[in-house]
Amino acid sequence: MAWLPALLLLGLAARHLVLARGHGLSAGRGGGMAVFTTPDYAATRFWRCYLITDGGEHRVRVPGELRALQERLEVLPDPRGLTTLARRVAGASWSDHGPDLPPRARPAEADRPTQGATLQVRAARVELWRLEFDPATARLAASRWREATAERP
Amino acid sequence: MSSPPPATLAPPERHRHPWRRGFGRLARQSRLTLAARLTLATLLLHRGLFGHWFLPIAPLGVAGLLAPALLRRRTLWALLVLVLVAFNVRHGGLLRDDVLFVSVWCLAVLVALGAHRPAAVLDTSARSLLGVTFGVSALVKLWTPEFRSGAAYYFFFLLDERFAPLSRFFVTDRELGGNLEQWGRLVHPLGEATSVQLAGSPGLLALARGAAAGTVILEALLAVAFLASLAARRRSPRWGNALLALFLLTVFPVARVTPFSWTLCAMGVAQATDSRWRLTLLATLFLGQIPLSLWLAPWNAVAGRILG
Repeated sequence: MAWLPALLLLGLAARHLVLARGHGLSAGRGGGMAVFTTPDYAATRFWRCYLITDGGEHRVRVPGELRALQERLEVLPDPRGLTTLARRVAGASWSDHGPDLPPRARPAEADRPTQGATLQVRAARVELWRLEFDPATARLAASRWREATAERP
Repeated sequence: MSSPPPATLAPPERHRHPWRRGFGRLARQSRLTLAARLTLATLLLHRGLFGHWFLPIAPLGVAGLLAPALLRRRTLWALLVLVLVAFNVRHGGLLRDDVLFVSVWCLAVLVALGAHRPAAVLDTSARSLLGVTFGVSALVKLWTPEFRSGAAYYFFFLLDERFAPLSRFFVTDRELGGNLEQWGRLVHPLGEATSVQLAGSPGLLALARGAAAGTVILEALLAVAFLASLAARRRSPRWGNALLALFLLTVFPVARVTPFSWTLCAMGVAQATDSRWRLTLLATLFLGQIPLSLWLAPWNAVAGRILG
């Protein structure tokens, strides 16, 4: 019984390894003992998000109320979760603030329709990006890593 | 005729300096009691790790610390483990490593308290956990190309403010601020950049590579020390304890992952049969925290206020 906790820790480390290699689990999560081993981990992964309309694509911020889902996906970006995020982005209420301003989420401002015309969103695409760091040149490069598109529900 | 009282070399307890009395009291505590107290203190001091799950953890931790009769009660530790397991399961077992680490250690205390010889069982659990933790950590680091190349530490030195006091020996405050701006430009939700140039320094890169090699060597030695002592059925390894003290004193004041350092110290205390090693480990933990506190102190704000 005295070895039980150590065996459990070994099991967690093995699970981390499988999930990290196969599904992109972040370092520092799930018992992999991999804190500070790579620049790519949950806190450095970031999002780019697009609304797809009849007029083209609009780059937007992900609405704040989806932050918890985003954080979960930064740790473990499973395809179903990414699609759910895209669908919820597409399903949010968006308004067009004119040609010089990007559209933005306005659930909190839904009672102020004068701020802009409602944007007719057909679908949304969310992209999760991650970093690579070249120590020789100190250059930090980002690349699109996972993405999902979903139509407005 | 009455005989004179026996001569003693040590002065009576009441004549000792308070800090010596304090250390004396600590040294007299059993390692199980000391480790259990340190574990509960770890949980209570890091409430941010647990979110609203801290609500059931707090009364259990306080009760164990204040009531010595409860500290070694299995019921208290079973409830604590139950809360921690529920917290982990709720998050799919994907919580931060330090949360999992302290949860597994609480399970070890519970298992020991249910055993015929609790101190001996906790001793074995502590050494096996120390060996496995450092062994896995060293292997993962060796396996990860970004760590081997020094890229990981260099990245954190250039962008993570926790390392700024160290990085300032090689790059200026302005350059570090510029790096953060570049970083912000890259990850901005509406930004277009796909790569940015950071201000680095060959000296800092060399330090990152040296620190990476040093960390792996120290962790590998720690793993060997604790696992070999178990394999050979020997008692707590002196050089393992010395290396653990070195680790607590050097790594955590810089890396600042205090839940890890407190849990590691509790494990170290649980397996150190010699009370001097227990005190040494506690002292290194707190000595590591003092520079940490000084490091974290908002000196610029304080100086600015004083100077107007």
